[in-house]
Amino acid sequence: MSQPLNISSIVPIDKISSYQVYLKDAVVVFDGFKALDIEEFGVYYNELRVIIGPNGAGKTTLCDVISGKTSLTSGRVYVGGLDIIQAGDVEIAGMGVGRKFQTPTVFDSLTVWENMDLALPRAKSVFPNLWLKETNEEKKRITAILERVRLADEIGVQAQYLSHGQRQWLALSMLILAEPKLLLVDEPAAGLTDKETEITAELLLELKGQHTIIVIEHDMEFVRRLNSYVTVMNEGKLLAEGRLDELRQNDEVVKAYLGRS
Amino acid sequence: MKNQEPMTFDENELLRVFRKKTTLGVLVFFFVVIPFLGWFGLIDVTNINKLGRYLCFAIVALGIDLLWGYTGLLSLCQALFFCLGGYAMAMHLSLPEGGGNVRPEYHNIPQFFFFNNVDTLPGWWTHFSSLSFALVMAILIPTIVASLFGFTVFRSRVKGVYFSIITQAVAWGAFLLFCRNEMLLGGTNGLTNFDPAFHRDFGWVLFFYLITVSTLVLLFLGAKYISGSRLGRLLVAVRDKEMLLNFMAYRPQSIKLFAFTTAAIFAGTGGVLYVPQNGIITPNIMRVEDSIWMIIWVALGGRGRLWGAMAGALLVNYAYSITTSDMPKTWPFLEGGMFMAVVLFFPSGLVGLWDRFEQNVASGTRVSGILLAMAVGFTALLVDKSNWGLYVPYHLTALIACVTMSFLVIRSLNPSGIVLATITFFFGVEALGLMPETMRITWIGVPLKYYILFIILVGAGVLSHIGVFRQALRKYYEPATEH
Ligand SMILES: Nc1ncnc2c1ncn2[C@@H]1O[C@H](COP(=O)(O)OP(=O)(O)OP(=O)(O)O)[C@@H](O)[C@H]1O
Ligand SMILES: [Mg+2]
Repeated sequence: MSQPLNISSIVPIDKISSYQVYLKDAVVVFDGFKALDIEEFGVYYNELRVIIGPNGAGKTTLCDVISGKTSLTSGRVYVGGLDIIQAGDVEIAGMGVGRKFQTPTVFDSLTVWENMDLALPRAKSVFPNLWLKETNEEKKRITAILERVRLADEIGVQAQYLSHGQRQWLALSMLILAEPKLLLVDEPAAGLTDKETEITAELLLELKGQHTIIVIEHDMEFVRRLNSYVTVMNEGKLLAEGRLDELRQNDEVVKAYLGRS
Repeated sequence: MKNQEPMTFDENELLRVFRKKTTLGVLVFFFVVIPFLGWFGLIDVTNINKLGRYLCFAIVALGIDLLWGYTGLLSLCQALFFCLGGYAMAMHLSLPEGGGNVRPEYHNIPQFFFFNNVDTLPGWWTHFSSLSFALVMAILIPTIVASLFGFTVFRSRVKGVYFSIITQAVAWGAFLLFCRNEMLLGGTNGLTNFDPAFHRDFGWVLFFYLITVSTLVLLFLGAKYISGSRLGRLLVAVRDKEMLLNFMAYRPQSIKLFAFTTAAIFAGTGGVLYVPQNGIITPNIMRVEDSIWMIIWVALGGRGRLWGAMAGALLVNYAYSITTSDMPKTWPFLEGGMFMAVVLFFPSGLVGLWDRFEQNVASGTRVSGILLAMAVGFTALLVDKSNWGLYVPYHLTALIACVTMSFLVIRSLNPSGIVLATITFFFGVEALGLMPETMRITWIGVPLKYYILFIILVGAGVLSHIGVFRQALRKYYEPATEH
């Protein structure tokens, strides 16, 4: 669908190139309902950005747009300086965009190890996978990550027998192992204990500075730990941006949260 | 029914040895025992021929397992691919170069041409006088058809039931096409008049049987390699969560295309080997019903496990052949009953039963008794069948065999083992045509052997529930004391 020429939607080139992710006038409409309506949103290269907002604020929809799961009704979206409006989910993933879904999604009848093996950043076409095996280097990396998230003893267990927390970690480990340039992490701490949340935050903080990371989270303690720039969303719109303590003083933000719950 | 990979338990030493021995035993049985028994005339040529044909079905089942069991795609046109391979081979076999029975009064070309007013062999038929060309075509045609069809269907992201419906439509369309005389493939009568020696002479029958078994073993190893590779995991991944693969930069469409084409090649290979042993091929074998029939083999055998699919193909086909010859009218009921029994009691098919048995073996249960019992029974029946029966009184052998077997089986007290052994023994004896005449005595129209089979299976069922019964009884006699 070609878009009507609109002077205000022409995007200055410097903005596209300085952001890893950049959205302009991005609108997603579901059955006449605006799930996403963003004037401008950008995340710098190697930044760790946290997105918070009440339920139904459009956070997941934003991730869906960036990863190609949902297409924009109108507007522009750039990843790494490239317009991805025409690209499919596989192409976008191939450009180095990885994501962890809100409900931890893994391959249930494969073991923990086999799940990790498939996540390795290597041959993605059919035939090489007939003979390729993981190298020792790769085995070591998998083991190292699994040890961090305490899944090292479960490598032979089918994912369907894991607890919720373990699934969260497996999904996150797979994402980290894939080494994407941009990580979209949707609610990594949901359903984890305090101690587990702490480890998850550590893992993400370690990646900070080498990858661009967008984290969606409800858990304020977790957000505080990440100690990063925060974007607040509400009803599909960006409500405010800033550091967590600044946002606490922001009446609108407080109202959005209180008004809901 | 959730699609589930059977849980793999720890492979302990006992189990490893047991598996090795079982594999060896099966190989010896198919490659040595059967040819020799045939050689000595203890198994009829027709029985070896039938086994050869059913093993072709096992080849098809392997492919279906990769496609359905592993990748989760339910294709209802596998019988079509079977026939595509089969027809290519049949074309060669109906020409004089392939031993086809042609007559001068019909211009020395396959007879059906005469009835279609065709006097000379059409150009595209002439190539099939070469065996190698026919064989290449037999594999190439299913491959090309499957890849073109798969490419279009998977690219448009058709999924689940819609995929099954489309494959069904293709099978139906192909059936109508092959039925037409203008296709010059024999119309509804199909292709026949091959060299009758292929399915009658011991030498030829054994030749085709051995080729089929060898092909099956090779393709089994191939399928096993695929399922054990990372590509095999990708197949399972497609079944589990296709969507996630997209976001990991894999292309599920290509993976599905691979599975679909591979399954078509397996089916085509089965068809090639089937045709000479069957002596005829008609469009009737490519109907949707036949494809569903193939799915049933795999479902009963246990999908997601390669040998389960092969065993299922043999078992279901023998069950069909035995019952239709004994009690022609009962087959639909038996088929329904088998299906219900699997769904209710063994959701993972034959494989589930085997897994339970293996668990017993792994925990140290000795199975030599059951195996010995089978060997005793088998030998007794061979003695009966052979001329030695003249020297050894038959009833004595039978009596000794029955007593020994019962003793050995009861001593093992392993329900899943008994069920498996009984099924194997019953079908083995029937397949080799060793069932003694006494067993054919009928009571209200049902032969004696079924009563025995029924009693043993129910007995094993009761045995496996003895613990449960005991608990129930205890509850009954000791009323609750809590309050
Ligand atoms: N595929 C869809 N079809 C119709 N409506 C949708 C679809 N996906 C999301 N929505 C709606 O869009 C709105 C935004 O959903 P979204 O999942 O982005 O919220 P969220 O901020 O992630 O919320 P949560 O914190 O609960 O995960 C919701 O009202 C949701 O019902
Ligand atoms: Mg969400």
